[in-house]
Amino acid sequence: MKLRTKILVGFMSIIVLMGILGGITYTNFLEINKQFEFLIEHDLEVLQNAQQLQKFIVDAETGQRGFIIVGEESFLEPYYSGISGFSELVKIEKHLVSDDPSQMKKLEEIEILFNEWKEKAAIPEIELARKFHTNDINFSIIENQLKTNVGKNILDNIRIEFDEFIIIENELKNKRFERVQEIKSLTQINIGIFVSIASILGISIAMILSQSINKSLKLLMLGTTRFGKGEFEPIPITGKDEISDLSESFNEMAQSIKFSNKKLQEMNTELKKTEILKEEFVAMISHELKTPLTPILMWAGALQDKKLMGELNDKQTKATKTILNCATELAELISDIFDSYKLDLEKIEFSKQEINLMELMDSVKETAEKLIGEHKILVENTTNENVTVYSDKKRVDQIFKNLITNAIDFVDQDSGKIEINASVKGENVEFMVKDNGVGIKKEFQEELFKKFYQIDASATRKHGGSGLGLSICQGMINGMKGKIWVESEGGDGTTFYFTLPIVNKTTK
Amino acid sequence: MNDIMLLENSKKTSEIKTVLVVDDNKTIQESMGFIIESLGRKVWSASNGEDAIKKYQKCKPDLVFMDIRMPKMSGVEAISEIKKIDNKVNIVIVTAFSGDNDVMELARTDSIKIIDKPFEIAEIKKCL
Repeated sequence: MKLRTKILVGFMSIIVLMGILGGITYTNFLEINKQFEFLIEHDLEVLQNAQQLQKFIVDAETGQRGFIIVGEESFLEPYYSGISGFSELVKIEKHLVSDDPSQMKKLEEIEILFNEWKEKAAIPEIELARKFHTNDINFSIIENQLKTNVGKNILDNIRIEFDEFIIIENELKNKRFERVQEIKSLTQINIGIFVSIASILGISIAMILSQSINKSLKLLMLGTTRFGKGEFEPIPITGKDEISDLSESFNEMAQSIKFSNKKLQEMNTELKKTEILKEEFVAMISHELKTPLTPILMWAGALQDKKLMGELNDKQTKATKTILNCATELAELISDIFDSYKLDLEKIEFSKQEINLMELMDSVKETAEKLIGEHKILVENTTNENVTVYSDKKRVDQIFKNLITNAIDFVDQDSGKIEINASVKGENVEFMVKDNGVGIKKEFQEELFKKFYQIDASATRKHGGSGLGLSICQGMINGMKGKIWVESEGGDGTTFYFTLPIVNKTTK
Repeated sequence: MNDIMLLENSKKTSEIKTVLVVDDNKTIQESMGFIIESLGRKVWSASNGEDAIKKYQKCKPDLVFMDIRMPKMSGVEAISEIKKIDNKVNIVIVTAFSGDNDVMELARTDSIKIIDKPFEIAEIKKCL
């Protein structure tokens, strides 16, 4: 069943139940209302009328008695008004009890009795009294008539009938009141039962609904969690609702991602294979280039050694020196290209040795002097930090060699000055190579660390090199978690700074 | 620092009288042999790891210059085999692949000195 249908059915059944409850309650309310109306408008009126009818009878009787005794016509007024009031009111009362035949019969009997009283007692007695008061007859005739008790008997009967009539009417009134009470409590029970049923039904529907939704949602969640972990197993589909639709589309998505993922993985594997092949190829090339260079350098070196090869003449010395310099340059170039390549792949590993800063900077100075050779360039080491750092000595040497080679290229060959320094700056050592050379214009400074960058790219350029040196320096320094930057105001010397972490700082 | 440590670990410079040069490249092998002999040391040569082990057992040289990438048996394997024979052996690696992980591992754990190819004669002299 669709989720929408489920929810709709649930709510509809509760609404229908509530509707039935409302209907029943409303019907009961109408019934109670009707009974009350009847009670107030009908029963009370009937009882009031009955009392009034009795009063009319009493009025008529009193008026008649008064007239008999006094003989004045004015005494007959209550008599007449009682009679006329009775006959009018009894019509209304008969109409009111018309739905109850027994009461109707009683009223009719009362009416007959009253008429009987009028015909047999009241009128003859009034006639006699009138004759007595005009002195036509003796009072004994009236006395005899009265002593027959015809009027009294009839009136007694009327009273009895009326009493019964009122008792019955009261009983009817009480019954109706009971009925109202009955309906009231019935309505209360009805409301109670229906509210309970509606609540139980509502809760059950809500539980069933939420359970079925929850179950499918849980499955979906489980599937998405696994999907997040890279497992592309399809989600089991239960039922046929919106969630199962969602699960189905999810499965389709997972399937297509699984497929493309597999493809990507295959491609990646291929790429990795190619990458390895490429690396091996570059390593092989580097090896093959270095191998023949090794004996060239060795022999050129040996030729310069008098002890090994004997004295050479000037031409031979010059030739040997040129071979040695060019072979060295070539070896460095090969090394730089290989390093640069490995740095790009982040394949260079850095070792860590204890390096004493004073000793390091002394050896850097020696290297610098060796690189300067016969030129008159002054190297000054201003380091004054007797601290041990942990870093890759070979790489640090290489960085210095590159920076110093650059500095030598840019200072005057006769009055050049290079200052080297190392100082502790917090958790790092800051190294410095400062020269008093031509300087580097601001616009070139940003480009400086890019591969193959030459400030002067013209064919007649004074400064040589592959253009890899600074890019290698930067790559290695980054690899050792340091930073490199340059400070130079064009024409006023150049200062290169680089930092390396001390790691474990120990002072000797 | 490495140099200092190595000098401390190895035999005194003057004690090195015999040297084994291991390299699969004949030119390099002969060139190194010539120069070391010129410096007054007795030299043996080997062209691969297996050969090196045999020559080491036979001649017991004071110092071994060991190439890494060689046919039959690599320098790394040969070093571990030779170390089994003589734990105090004095070895210097001569390679164009000093950045290789296994070479760096050897240099770190066994404090073996590495000379990068190509090298200057001074590097060889320092070891003798």
